[in-house]
Amino acid sequence: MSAPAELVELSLTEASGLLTSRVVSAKDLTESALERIEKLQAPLNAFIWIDAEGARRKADEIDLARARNTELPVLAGIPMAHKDMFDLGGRLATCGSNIRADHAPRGMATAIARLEDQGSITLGGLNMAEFAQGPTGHNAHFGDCRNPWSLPYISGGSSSGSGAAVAARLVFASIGSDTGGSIRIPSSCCGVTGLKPTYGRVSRHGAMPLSFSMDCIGPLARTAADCALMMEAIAGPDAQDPTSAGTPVPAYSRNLTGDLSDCRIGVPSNWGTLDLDPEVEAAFAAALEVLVSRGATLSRIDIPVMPDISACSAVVSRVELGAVHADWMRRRPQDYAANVSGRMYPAYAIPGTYYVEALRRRGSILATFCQEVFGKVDLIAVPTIPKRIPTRAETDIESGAEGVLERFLSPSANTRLLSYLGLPAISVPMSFDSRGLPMGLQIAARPFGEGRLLRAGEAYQRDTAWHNASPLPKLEEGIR
Amino acid sequence: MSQRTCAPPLIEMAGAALTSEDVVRAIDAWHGITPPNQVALEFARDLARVIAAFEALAPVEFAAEPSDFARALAEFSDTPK
Repeated sequence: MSAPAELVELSLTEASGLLTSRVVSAKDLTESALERIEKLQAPLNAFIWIDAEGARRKADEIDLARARNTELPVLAGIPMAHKDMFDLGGRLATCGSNIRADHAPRGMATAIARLEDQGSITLGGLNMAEFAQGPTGHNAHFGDCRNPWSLPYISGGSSSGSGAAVAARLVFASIGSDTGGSIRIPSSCCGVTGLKPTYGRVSRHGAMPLSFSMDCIGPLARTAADCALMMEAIAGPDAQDPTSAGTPVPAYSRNLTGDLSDCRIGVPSNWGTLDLDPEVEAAFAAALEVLVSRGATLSRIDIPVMPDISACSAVVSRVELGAVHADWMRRRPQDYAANVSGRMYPAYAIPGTYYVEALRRRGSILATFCQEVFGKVDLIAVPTIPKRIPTRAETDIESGAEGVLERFLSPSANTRLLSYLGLPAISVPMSFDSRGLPMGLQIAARPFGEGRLLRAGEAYQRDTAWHNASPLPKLEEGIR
Repeated sequence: MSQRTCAPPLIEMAGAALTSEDVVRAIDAWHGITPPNQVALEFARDLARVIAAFEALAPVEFAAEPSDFARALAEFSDTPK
């Protein structure tokens, strides 16, 4: 088998196979990625920093080890880049902020350490919403990350660079974080696959905190199969993160059978926003048919305790965010973008008793939800974003335009509810709207149901080609 | 810049009516944080909705033990036991 002309068009799984069979080298993949980054960084602004020399050095080490017939892990030689909020052993971790613009902690985030120990190559730090606040991809300090499918539109956030870089074939995969939708939203906006794991499934050691009761670390990649490989590397207990779960990590990749006959899918009659755009609604209906053709059964389901989830989630996320930023909000408020400090500000007026109460209820709300929902179905399906995505200008809070706050927050309407519950969810590409912009299908499962989600996503991608669509021809034409 | 001179929008809260001035004063008193910009006051209006939604929930019984979130995650896990 010969190497394909366009290495960047490979999925992570395909690239890994070619590396193992020595059809391509880590250097081939790295140079190909760096060439693409050089070409597309200016229009996309997906990276905050790039470490080309470090990447080349690591690629040479991998190729040398392979030449010596050393048996290497499946991710060895795969170029990646991650949301710029992880401790990386002395490399930058700006958190997309002015406040941490020069922050280069010596520690190492467990999730990234596990990938690099497997031989993955880190090309740099990816753009993100400042301190991971915001679902659109705006960034006042490093510039907005742009959507590879159409530059004026939002890339989604807060893992904006992760979504854009994977979609534009700058990297094969990326690690992002998700507190209210920050992996799933950019996955939907950019047409890639993203998994928010169960709370505690992946260690958060060395990751920037936002809301420590809800923060999750997870992968974005082209396909569900790619995400399965990433999860096998990063999931599992970590002595450095006391909230990490000891639940055994399944061999996700071996479970991708294409068979969904044991999956009862519930379509909620009540959720964040089910007032869908007609194009989203049509794509969602078609996506459900594909899942049924793979053996799944469908039913309508009423979701219990919705007001409780919504109200408690809003309190917990705001108060925890305010707590971790209180010192800077006192001493350096001018160093935040106005939309970030402005959004944090009212959190300080929420009574402590409400916060305690919102956490006190959490276990019983989850138990009620699981009993009533997962007693009837195995998965829940909704569109990741209920409306067609807006432009960056339409969601620029600092414009002060009428209704801009609602437009800014709207992409997370269907994602944030799952974060308070700590449940896992995947977003897979499910079509394009009439403007050529991606739309995503979100599927959620019971706790630690990542295996079932990845199987559902991979089964769906066996019969659809949305995840293979590339923005590159149009993007390159536009910048020529 | 100080936002204290801005016209205070009314923030409706269940059982009480607080102005944004009340909120600004409370945050300043307890946290030493002043509104960093006009956007902060825009978002402060949204706080009333958050508070009202929370106050609308049925109260938890006085003697109810705090629920165990980690145990609930494990109890309803999809992983074969």
